[in-house]
Amino acid sequence: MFIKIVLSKIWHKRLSSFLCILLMAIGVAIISLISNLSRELEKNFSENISGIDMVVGAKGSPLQLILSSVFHLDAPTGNISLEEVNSLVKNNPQVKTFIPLSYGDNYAGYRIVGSTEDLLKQYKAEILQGKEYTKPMEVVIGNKVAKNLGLKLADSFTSSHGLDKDGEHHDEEEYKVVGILKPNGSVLDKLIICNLESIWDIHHHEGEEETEVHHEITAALVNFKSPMGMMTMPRLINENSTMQAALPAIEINRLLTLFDDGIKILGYLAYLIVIVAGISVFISLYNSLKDERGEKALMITLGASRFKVFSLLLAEGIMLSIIGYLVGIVISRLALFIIQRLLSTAYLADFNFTGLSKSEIYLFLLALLIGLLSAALPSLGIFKINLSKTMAEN
Amino acid sequence: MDQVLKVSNLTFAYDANTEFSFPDFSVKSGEQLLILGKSGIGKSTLLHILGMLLKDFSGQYILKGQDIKNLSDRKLTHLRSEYVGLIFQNHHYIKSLSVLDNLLLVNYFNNKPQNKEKAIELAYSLSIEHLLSKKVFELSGGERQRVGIARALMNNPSLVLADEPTANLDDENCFKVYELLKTSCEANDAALVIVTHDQRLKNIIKNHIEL
Repeated sequence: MFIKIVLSKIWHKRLSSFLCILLMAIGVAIISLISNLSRELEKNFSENISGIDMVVGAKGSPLQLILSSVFHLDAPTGNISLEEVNSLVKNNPQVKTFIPLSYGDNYAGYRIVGSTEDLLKQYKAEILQGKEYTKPMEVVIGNKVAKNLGLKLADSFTSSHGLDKDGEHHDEEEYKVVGILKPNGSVLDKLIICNLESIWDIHHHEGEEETEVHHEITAALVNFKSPMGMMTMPRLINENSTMQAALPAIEINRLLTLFDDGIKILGYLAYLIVIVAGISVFISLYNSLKDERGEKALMITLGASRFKVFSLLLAEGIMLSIIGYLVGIVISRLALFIIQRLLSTAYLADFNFTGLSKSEIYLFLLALLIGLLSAALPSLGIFKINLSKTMAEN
Repeated sequence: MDQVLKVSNLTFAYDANTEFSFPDFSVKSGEQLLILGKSGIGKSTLLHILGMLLKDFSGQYILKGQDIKNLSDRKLTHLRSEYVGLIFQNHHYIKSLSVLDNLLLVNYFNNKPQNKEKAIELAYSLSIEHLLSKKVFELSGGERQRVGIARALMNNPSLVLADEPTANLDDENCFKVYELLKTSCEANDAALVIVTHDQRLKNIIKNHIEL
């Protein structure tokens, strides 16, 4: 009966209830969306740079270099000479691992990256089907690539030049799928990986007989034996060579700080909306107490304790908050789903749609508290109702 | 017959200038008493004292053998829900709930099991059984009044207090409502006290006092 009274009251005043729920839902949806998106973004950024101390590439924007070589989001800054990078970086005693990358082609929008098998080790990739590439023109594809393009083992395809699928085609040479990776949440999920020779072969045009083979790569991922390398190497490279060195941790930090202010402002706005939702609950209950003093007095006359009538009103406010919160979470999940569908080829990992994150549980408590407070304040009036006077009123 | 209520030397003061004093009277179960008086003479005040909505009166009020004076709010609420059925002039209902739920509220607020059979039985006797699932705000004034009578009888009261039940009604309906009240109260062996300015009832209810 308690729940029935509360719900029928909410339904009876559906317009003002709807407003309370809507405001609460919008606020909750924005806060939850922001926290989910920024957490996923940060998590993916930091997961993918873990174990990469430095990136070497052609001179240009360091952020672009990181985005293109670590996250495969941006265009490369250019090519560097394998010879130079080998002598200056690979053979340096401070370097622990050195992973050359050569990229610039794509198949159906998915980037083809030439590298050594160290790249697979770097991201702890495991083979789901088939084997690792051993010969030129053999490729291992990321799980998302396989799924989204429907590629299977032994399928073959030709690549296009550049990073979007409408580039000039390299029709002469066909790549052959020899392995499919297990999904592991890293960038590899969205890459097509082959050895360096494949990339060199494709770009080694007929008629250009070269006496001396002069290979180029696009970038190299470097790990140091000790943090000392990070202190000295970038400077050495940036000042004494035609290449540039960039530190992923620093560049990503810079990128996230750019986002941060915007995200923060949006967050404040969302909290403001939640507070306005609380105020609207307050006004709704205040009006309800004013307009329906007769009903409340009647309840007391019929034998209800004042505390019971008070808790009925309190429950109404809390109920509105909870419904608003739930609607908000549903909206946020729906938005995440749509974002994920829209950006399926871009760099965003899978979200956890079921279950609540820690911040969402805090948000629930906040919604509850706001509902409680904004309901309790006007509802205290219950304890001041003069029964005789109210029942005699028209 | 049991005595249901007895008042003596009853006065009530809102402030120094507004003081009402009431004649002594008593009512036995199954009896009817009409209290007549013009507006502003303290009719509602008397009814609210009898219904235990107003305390701080002087004089004596004994309900079912119990002296009401100086009882706590909680005790008064308990006595009211145990013995008294109130029919208000300004039809007060929980508008968002159905007629049936409005009747069951009486049980619910008194922490008693919800007596659906009783509600349906009362609805039949007042010919409002077809309205049970309707919301109160959808009813006409006359229908609401019957709901009010049914609600007053939900707790099997020993005393039914009615505030101006026939005001604003034409002669035909005035007698109809009185008949409803009378038969309902007699069926429950409840005493009926009607407070009104409606002189028409004087001719029907022999037992009456004027304020």
